[in-house]
Amino acid sequence: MSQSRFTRRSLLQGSAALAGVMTANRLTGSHGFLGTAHAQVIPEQSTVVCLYLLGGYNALFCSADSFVPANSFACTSSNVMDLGNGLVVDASFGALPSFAQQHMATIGINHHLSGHDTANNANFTDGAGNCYPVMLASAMGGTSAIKCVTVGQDDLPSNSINPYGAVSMQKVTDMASTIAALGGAASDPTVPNRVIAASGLTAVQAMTQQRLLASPRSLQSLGNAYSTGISTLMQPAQVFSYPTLAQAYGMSPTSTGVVDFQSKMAAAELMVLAGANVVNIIETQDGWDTHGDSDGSQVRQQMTQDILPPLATFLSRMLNTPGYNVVLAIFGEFSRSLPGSDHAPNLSSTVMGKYVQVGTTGRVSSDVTLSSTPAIPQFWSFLAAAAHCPTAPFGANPHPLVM
Amino acid sequence: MRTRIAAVALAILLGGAGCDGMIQGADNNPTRTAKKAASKAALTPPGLDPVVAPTERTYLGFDGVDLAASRVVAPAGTDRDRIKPYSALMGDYPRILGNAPGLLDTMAATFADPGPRWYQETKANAVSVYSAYRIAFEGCLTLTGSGATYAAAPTAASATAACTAWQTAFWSRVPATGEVSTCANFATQGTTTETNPRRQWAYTCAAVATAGQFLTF
Repeated sequence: MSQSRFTRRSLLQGSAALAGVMTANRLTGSHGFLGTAHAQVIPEQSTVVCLYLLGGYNALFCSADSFVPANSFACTSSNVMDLGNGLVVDASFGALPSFAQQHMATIGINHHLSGHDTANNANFTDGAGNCYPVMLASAMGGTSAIKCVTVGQDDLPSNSINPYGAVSMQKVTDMASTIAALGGAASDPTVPNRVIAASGLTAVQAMTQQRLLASPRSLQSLGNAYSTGISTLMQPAQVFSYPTLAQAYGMSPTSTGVVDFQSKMAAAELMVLAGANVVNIIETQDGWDTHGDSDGSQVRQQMTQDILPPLATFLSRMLNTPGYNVVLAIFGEFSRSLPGSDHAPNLSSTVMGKYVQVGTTGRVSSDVTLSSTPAIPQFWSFLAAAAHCPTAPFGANPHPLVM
Repeated sequence: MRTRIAAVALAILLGGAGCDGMIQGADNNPTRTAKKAASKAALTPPGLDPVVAPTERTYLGFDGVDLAASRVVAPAGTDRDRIKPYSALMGDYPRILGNAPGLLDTMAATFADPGPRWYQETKANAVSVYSAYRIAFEGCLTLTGSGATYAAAPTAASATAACTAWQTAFWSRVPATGEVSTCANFATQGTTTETNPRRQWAYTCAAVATAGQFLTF
């Protein structure tokens, strides 16, 4: 016997999802779907976006009040911003949308690591060689073929980027090619039929099998690429308007390569809409290993000029979009120490998301130390919780800042 | 003189300390042994037996950490293949297809071309392999656009002949029987929703040109 499950909550969810679809259609340019969406309750799609500043993430941005009394990193009462519940950030974050400011937390990671390589590896990989973003993407489930992706040419700075279950790390280095792979290529006789191409790649995978087995490491990405490519082609085609996306981020509609921070944020939006669970952005355009930046002027300038404008665009379009739950985390290897902006043995990250509560578990002391703060896996457990991941792949979340 | 003696003594001491951890036979420390075994296990590719004996010489650092822990353990001869970079594909597609697909010129970012005078180990991804298939398909459409062979839909016999010829030419080696039959099966069974025989052949040709035997060296 079927039972009606229509409730006021499902009506609200359905309305929110429909509104989200309408928002996403600004980019997809698709209107036909609206005719069928009204009868469905679409679950919220979650995506975790990791913005990694290679070199370090200065705690002056996310624990600004720690440095005001001694004017360290040139923090004063006039260049910090109190967001409430103990969270005080750099005033430059005022450039972010108000919704982001109202859903921002600082999450502390007391990893005791002050070397670049060791911190990079530990931030992304557990002791058994499992890659945290891939693990998270696997745990989040969903139907998207490309579940975990790094946008741009820079790889995750980790020794192990192994697949986890059926999920492997994929890359997006060109948005036009990506849109084509998702099914959005302009109709053209030279574009292969997706079903036949999927069958063709399946044959390719079989023909290549022996070669892949002979080079399990050096051709690992090729084996993963075939599998994910076949899955991508077997998904329903998704249509995106690249000119619309480019315009939103102030880019030329003919420049489709993911080559700078602006295009990385645009590619992140593309992959959120494409259904990816985890999107990684490795920021290397600016140098974040800012030794000698004792007054924080270098990182402030880089943040203000290069990072915040595209980030604000992304957040204003994605963070409060109905039907989507986008969680964005800013972090790096470690915080910068005092007095010389060297390597602190801990990290405070900024996390924003629809279900993130304003507050901090990563307020550092005036000498950039953290005490009794959870470590790296617990940071990932917070991200999983904020993304409403159906399981807890990294254990219970000890940071009580998720709504 | 006293300074010289002290320096020599210090050097001997340091040298001795270094030797202490340099060549390691049987390790009686259970913690270290377990740690080494775990790191070796993590580094051994699944499905492959390490050829290095567990009693191999290892080297301990001053802090007791196995300096050989990150040594890759794999049978000799594995991991010899590399994915071709974009710069190599630029010449190889025209060489095998006899024409230069127009799409190829626009794919530098897709294949993460590091630019002139820079080297970066090429890695594949879902988008790049699909793009490789698109490039090959475009070139194969030109290749199969003429010639009586491609005017009729593939049959078992014609597909076997064409697959053998393409695989030999594109891969620079004689294909194995299984590789030919996989290709022929795709030609005769995987392309049947396409009504134009020349396009059926192009799909088959593109599959051969997207195989690892062409995309790697």
